[in-house]
Amino acid sequence: MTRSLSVCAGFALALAFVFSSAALADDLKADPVHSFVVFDVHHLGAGYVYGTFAGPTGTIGYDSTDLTKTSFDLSVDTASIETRNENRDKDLKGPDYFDVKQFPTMTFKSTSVTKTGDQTMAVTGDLTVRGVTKSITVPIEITGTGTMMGHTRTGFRADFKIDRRDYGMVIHPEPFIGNEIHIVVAIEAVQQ
Amino acid sequence: MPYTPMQMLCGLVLPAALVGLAAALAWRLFADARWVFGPLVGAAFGIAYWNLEPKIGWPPNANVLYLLFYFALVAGVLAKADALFRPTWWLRMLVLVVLWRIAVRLLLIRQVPSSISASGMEMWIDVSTLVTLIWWLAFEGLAERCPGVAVPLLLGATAGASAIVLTLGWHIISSGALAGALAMMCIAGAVLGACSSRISFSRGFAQTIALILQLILVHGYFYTDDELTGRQQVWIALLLGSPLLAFLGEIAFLRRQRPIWRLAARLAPALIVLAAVCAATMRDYVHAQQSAGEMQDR
Repeated sequence: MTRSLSVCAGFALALAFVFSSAALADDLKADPVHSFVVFDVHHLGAGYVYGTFAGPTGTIGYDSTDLTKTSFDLSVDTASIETRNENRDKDLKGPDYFDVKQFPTMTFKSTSVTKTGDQTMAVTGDLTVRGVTKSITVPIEITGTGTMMGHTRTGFRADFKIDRRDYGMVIHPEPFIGNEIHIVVAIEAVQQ
Repeated sequence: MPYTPMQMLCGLVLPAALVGLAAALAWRLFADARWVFGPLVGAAFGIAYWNLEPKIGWPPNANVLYLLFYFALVAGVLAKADALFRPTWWLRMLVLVVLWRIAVRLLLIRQVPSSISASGMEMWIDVSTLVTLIWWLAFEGLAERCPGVAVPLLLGATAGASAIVLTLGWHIISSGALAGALAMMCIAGAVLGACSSRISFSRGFAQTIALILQLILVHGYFYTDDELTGRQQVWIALLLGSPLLAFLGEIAFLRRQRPIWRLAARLAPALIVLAAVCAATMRDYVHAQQSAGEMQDR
């Protein structure tokens, strides 16, 4: 009896330690007004077409003391795509590309983080676009911190490439539209 | 170009060639080879889909686009059973209604409640079932009455007009290409029909093509990002109604005329309406392009 009680107490202590460690990570909320998703893609093998999505929403569990404990859970509204041409935007929102009526969001959920420098990390996570989930690794840089209205804000910047065909966007093959999409995600996240 | 030359060859030409050659062989070997058309059209559509759309996944409703592929296979198998067992009209209609309602429900469920309400979905399932039933009765009725080129030509013109509406009007190039693949299969069917009046398109060819085309149109209607204008709604209503004009060839006066006049009476009114729909869609597309260019200039 005494032995089982001490096992329970030890287990409870271990749990308390785990949760207190997790609590060290700050919960930050992405501020969509100061966050951006910008992409570019090669067109006809000649110039580049640029586009944006409205800033991502979601949370970042940020641990400044141990970056490997940082986590990302972000979502982007696919219907917010804009390339400064109404007809092209309609094509992009339709079933040939983002299929926004069927898949209104694309998401990224981190699964592991590796520290690559003082302010940089390689974040591996599941990127879901058009209902297709692929594990990708994204280099993320912490761009700084600042304070506004008493809330601390931290900046994150990711710069990476994906192959659109992996997510079922197969129409207009190269060289008409490049397969590789260059994406920059800049997030300003607010401490809760 | 939305597709490579190889994709167009394998997605548009190969399925039509497969339908034409395999059906010609089957009708040479068997006195009545209607049973070959259902699986053949289903498989040919599968080849077209494989080449023109993203990779097929499972389950069918993981992405509503997959439904088009799986539906074509099921419709093809059921068409074969229809040709082999010759069930009565009421049983055929019952199976059609059940199959169609399941397919449309799976297609629309993802939009509830974000784009349409649950009751709205039920209403659209009822409406699309009614339209599909009318199409099925029209095309099957025509195929029973008149073997030959009339049905594949009418279906081909309808599929071709649908391809233009889907691509230019609703901004869905891949669905337009699939409708184009069906149109090509219909051209192969018309060549067969012209070569031999013995070939019948009932209980196989007509119903499989008509059902797949209907599902492509339903998908396009609900999943295009465009807010369809009143004009576009009129064009799609005319497109859906145009096959019924083929029954003008059944009026008593025309029944006494030579077959070529009856064929013309069956096809001409529908073709005129379909051509008007295509012309209007292309005109709207050009206007939209011009106004988008003007907006950018400003």
